[in-house]
Amino acid sequence: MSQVLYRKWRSRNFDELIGQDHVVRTLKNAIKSGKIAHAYLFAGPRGTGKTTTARILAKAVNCLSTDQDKPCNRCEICTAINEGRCLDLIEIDAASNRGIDEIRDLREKVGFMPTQARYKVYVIDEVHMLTPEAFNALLKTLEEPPPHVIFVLATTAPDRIPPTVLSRCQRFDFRRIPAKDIVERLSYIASQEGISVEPEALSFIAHQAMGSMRDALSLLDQLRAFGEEKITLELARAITGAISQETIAELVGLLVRGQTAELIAYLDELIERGAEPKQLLQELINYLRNILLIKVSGDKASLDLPQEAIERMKDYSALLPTGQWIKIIRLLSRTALEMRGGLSPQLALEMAFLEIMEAASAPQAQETPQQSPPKEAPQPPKEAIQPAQEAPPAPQQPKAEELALLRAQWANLLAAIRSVDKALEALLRDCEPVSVLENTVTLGFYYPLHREKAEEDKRRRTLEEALSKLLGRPIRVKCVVIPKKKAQPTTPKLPPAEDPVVKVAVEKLGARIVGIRQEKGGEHVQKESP
Amino acid sequence: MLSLNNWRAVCEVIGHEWVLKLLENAVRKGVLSHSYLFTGPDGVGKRTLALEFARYLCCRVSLPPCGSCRDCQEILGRTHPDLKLLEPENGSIKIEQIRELHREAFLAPHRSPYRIFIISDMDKATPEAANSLLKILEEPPLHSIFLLTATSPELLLPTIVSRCQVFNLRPVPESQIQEFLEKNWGVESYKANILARLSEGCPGKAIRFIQEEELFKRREEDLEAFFYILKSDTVARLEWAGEFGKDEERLKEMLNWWILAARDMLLILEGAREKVVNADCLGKLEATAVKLGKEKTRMGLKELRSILAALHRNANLRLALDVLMLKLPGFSQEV
Repeated sequence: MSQVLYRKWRSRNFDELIGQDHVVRTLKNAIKSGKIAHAYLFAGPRGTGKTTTARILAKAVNCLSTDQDKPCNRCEICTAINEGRCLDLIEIDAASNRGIDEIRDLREKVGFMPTQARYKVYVIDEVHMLTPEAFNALLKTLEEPPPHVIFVLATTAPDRIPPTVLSRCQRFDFRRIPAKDIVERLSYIASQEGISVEPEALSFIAHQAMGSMRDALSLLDQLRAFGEEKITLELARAITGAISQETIAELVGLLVRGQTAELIAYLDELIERGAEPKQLLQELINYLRNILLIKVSGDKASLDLPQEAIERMKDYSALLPTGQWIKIIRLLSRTALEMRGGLSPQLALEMAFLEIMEAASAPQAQETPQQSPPKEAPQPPKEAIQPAQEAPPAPQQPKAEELALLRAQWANLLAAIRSVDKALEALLRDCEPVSVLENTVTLGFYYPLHREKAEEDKRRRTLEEALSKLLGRPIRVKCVVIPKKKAQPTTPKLPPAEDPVVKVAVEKLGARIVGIRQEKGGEHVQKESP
Repeated sequence: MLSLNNWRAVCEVIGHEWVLKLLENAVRKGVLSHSYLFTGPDGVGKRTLALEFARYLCCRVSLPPCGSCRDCQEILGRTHPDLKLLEPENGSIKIEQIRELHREAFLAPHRSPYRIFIISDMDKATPEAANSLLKILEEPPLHSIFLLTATSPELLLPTIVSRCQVFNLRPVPESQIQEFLEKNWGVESYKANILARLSEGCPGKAIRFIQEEELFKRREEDLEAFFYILKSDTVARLEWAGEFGKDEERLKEMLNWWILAARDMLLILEGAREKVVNADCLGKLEATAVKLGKEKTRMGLKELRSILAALHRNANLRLALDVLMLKLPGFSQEV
């Protein structure tokens, strides 16, 4: 069986190591000047070269060559390490041997001299998985090891290493490898292996790898196995389930135009063609983010995209206000979480689209208030209107007693309005009469939004009609916004004993009403079972 | 227990031709990797594919595998000495299981060229177990091959994913599932069509529906319940909820069906009738959808999803159900 590319092409000397110049320079100088520390910590994301550097370091400190440029990869020790048969390079899998016993064992053996090399190099990989006891057992040895020992700790999670360990090591942070360095190395390896790859495919692989050389080589390996003459961008996209920008643009177009049925159908088609729902979502979010960027800043320079793509995004960005775009992006990001929660990815995506459609169409929906069947609402009690009709003719001044009357009759007024316009009634619950003049009643709303809604022509007419009837003369309504007071007047609902839920509780479950407490806007009924 | 005949039916890979082609090429050209990761939703065929790949590697008669030689048969029966199948024990893969794997990986294979380890549901591994797999997964003994499965690569350590060749299995087209059900399971075409739609591209789900008839029946009950709840008033709903019982898994299952039904209704209202999953109740779905209207259907769908999410976060079952009953829109006068 052949070795996979990432093992076969593991860098063998410092010069082959890419993207970690800061590490390489420091280590090279340390070796040249013979100032080698006894403990190193290599931290960084996957596939950036931690284990590789540890092995190169082991070779460099032990290399027998007189050459300045170590390691030579030719001498006895270098070849032994390359072939994995050197007894003085001890690689420990800390994730599998994570207990205190393993560390005790290590401490016992640390004292023995190296068999053939100058230094014994202990590489403790995945060191973040050691138990706290094991870490503590290591502390003394790590601080003052025998002169012939070098420790190299490697981990992807340096934050899980105790500070006492960190302070005893020289720490090197490995960075994600820039895409262009990955491309360079990939094309070198591809040419050595006789794999022919399109340059676009290479840069696609490099971007997919997100700065990890191992990821990039794994993907190249996978593509090579497909057995095509040449590895093309399309092939790479098909295997990874990646989606082209045109496709995403098409989706966004359907989305902003509100073509729900077409959108769902298109989504289905994409998935049948092999698009990966999660990736699709990610790409979509990225695309929308770019649109938002254009919308907000109009700054093209920050986007690394072809001109026509930017133009199209610009067109889209004009179609919806900024708030809507943000809302859509937020909805989609929540969907990404939902997918992790086990909802079928395609279903989750469909739902997100449907929800976006809803968000987009929400303003229109509010314009048509719900029509409620009149029989449902109680008729306004006749007595309520009687005193109003008998009210004395109005003087010019503000009428305090009429205001009081209006306040007293507020609940009945609401009930009367409810039979005409349910939504208006709901609005009026968050409002109170402020003053009554000859022909103008001022209503104070707690929220500007409610005021706006109540001022819509149709509602205003309804309101004026009801008030005119109550006060016995034509009335105009003026709406203002006022700060909310402590308690709002509540409207009587069904008496608690007749509320269907309470009724069942009493009849079927044997509950007993022991008290009724008023809470804002409704009743709160305390029940108690015998 | 399934008979051997059924095993074969279960073990046939449906769809995923591109993966099989790629794997076959890799075997032919000798450019095998030592670790593969198959990801995709439950029942899409990850493990079946892994077993099939094991046959590609072990069958010495032909490529693609013959299916009748001793190696092929033993892999199907999971008794092959060079195949080891690791599965979650009591809900998770433990570090002890991986340690055992470490030992076995260094043993020479019995009669095949490889020793194959299938680790099923790697996403259910404990952090310790996952980490302890890292080193051996990167540089295993020469003859070992690891085949991992997981619902999604994001659920695994990035360090594990980066060591594997990742194959993201996609939903299998409905037509293919339908054909498979008709041919291998002798399901009549009408039912096969519905099962194929219900399976959401996962043949495994369709097979479960066939094997557990209960499951299919429960769906019909659940849909009935859904229609009943939508047209009932609060009192009747709460009464119904009171009789529901305390089975949380059952409730989640039911909610999933309800969500699917609500989605169907919404699709009908949006004019995408051919995408409806519960095609056997199309008439009823449509009638309900029209009565309920777009707004309320959307609201209902939202409520259903939020309750399901709450249940996944360990909400009290009784309360969740009652809240749903109170919040779910309907077309009874009261609600």
